[in-house]
Amino acid sequence: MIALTDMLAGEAVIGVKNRERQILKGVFVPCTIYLILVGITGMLMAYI
Amino acid sequence: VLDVLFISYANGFFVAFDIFIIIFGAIFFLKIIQELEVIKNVSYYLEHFSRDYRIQIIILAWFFENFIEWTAGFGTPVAVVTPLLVGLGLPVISALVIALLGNSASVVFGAAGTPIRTGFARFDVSLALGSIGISFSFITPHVFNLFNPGFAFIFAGLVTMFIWKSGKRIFSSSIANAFLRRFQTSCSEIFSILWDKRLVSTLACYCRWASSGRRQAT
Repeated sequence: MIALTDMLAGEAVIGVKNRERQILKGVFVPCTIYLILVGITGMLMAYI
Repeated sequence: VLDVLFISYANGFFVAFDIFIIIFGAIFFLKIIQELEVIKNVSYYLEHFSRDYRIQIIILAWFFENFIEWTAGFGTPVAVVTPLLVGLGLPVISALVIALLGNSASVVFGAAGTPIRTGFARFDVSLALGSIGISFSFITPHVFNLFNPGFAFIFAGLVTMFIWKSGKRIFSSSIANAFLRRFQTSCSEIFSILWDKRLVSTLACYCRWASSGRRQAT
């Protein structure tokens, strides 16, 4: 999700510049939720 | 020391060649799509599949993006899918964010399994399975890669779309039959495109283009 190369590639394709802050704001919350869920799953698989 | 240096260079060359083959395949795929003008017809096929733009977004940002991530990777899914999402009418920032969100879980298994092959290169899968009582000597990292969980993501996307569309009536047989019929029709149309004669002419155009570029370079 948070990959600067992918962001720049997408920005270059659709002709957008210097909007990384807005993109990161949009990606940050889903990425955090995903990390928490995957982290909990991994901890359960590792320790139970 | 020179031997180690030489071996490291050789190893780096083969790793880079592996990535080059994958990216070459992606560019070749993109050229074929451009020559066949498939991108122009994507909206038609999406509308044929469903007129709900949310389902169209799921198809593009999940199925198609995971497919491209599986076959190519290295940032190509976002670069390919974002213009398609903008074409559906999404704002550019939202399209880019959705494309980045779709390019999430499958990255681990993407790029023709490069992360798995690299990560499991020194991992003896058959030995690990043998430790839990399963002995299949033919299971190697490459065979393991055949069972790429990209299939699981595609299936998960199908289930998500199915639940989204039919809500609580997911177990209704009529809806399931209608969905399967529509899926079968779409698959047959895609295969008819792939087996079209234009594919052969596109390959010929590509060969001519490649040879002319080489001639100009020389």
